Amino acid sequence: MNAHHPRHDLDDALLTPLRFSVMAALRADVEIDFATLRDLLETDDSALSKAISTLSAAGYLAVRKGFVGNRPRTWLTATSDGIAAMRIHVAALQAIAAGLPPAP
Amino acid sequence: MNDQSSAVGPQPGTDAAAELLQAGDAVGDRVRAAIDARTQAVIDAWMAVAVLAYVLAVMLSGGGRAAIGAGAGGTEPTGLAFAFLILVPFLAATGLEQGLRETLHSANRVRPRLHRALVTAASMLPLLVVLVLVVLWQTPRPLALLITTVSAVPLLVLATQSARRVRDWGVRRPSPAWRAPLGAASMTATAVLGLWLGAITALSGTTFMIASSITVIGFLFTMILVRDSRWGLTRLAGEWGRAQWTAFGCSYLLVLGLAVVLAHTSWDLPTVSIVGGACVAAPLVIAAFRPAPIWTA
Repeated sequence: MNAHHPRHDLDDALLTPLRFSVMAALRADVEIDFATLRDLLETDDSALSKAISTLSAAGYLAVRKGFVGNRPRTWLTATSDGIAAMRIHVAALQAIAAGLPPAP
Repeated sequence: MNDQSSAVGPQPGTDAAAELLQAGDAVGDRVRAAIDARTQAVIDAWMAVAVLAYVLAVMLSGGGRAAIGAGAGGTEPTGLAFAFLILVPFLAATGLEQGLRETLHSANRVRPRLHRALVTAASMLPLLVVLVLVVLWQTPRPLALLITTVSAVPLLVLATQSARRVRDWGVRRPSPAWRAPLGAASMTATAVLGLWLGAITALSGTTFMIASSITVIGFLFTMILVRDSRWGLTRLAGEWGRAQWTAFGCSYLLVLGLAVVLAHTSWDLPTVSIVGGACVAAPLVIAAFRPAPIWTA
């Protein structure tokens, strides 16, 4: 089979809804702290930690520890690899959603 | 939401793909709204500082006393020039603020209506109090200062709250990855804004009253006429970066400071105003050629 179905462009690291949403939230020009991201995505600490570990291992997001006043904060940003991977993944999803036939 | 594959299987079908895309868009909208809310708090905090500086300048320059008393003999600049000197940068600041608000994606949803009304009322209160006490009633300074300070307390509280929200906010823009010079129109408009403020400052201490008035009226008319064009303050506010905002802040405070100095100094007024005008113009003219960040969304 020579046809290239868009599903082949889907990224394994972005296949779960939570990981996809994390990358959708961390656009190119935004930095979000852990607690805020958890609230934005309406998830819990452990699920978000797991998703972040996977994405971080894939090199798709960067984790930075910091302080605001005396309180520790964990800041998350998408890496350029993550943004590129997300772009390809979204394009594949759009092709699947549109029901496009496999490319020759 | 958990970190498991969707119920439809490891790879999405047509409907599941559409659902994922919609969920991604919804998350993006929430993040944009959060960024807007932080920007709104930044605007509120800095506008409070601008209003307080303006009120202080009116108070210390003697407002109406200068406007009515000085220049009676026709050999000195009238106090009206000092009054305009305080008013012009404040109007420019409000024009820029309006432009910045218009860049927000969800301008109307960011702040509840009650909060917006509170901020407006808190900003208007010290402005009205200082204008009535100092300009209209010529109230003795200690009393006017006391009443104005009390009237500024709500604004101070709101400014502090906004600053704290900005600091604690969990969504923010990191250092920009891309910077580029301003577009030709914005670069020119920024430099012209600086030169115009500088000219108004320089002429305010001289006896060229007609030139001074024409410069001020011309500025106000131009500001209104080009408001929504690519030369207008609205567009500038959307394109400026930290360098340009800092430069405007410096020029703003310099103009207000000079208005106070010019109203009281025994130095040679034309010299002070011309040197001051050059100092007011310099930051914006330099900043016009500095790069500004480019955001992808």
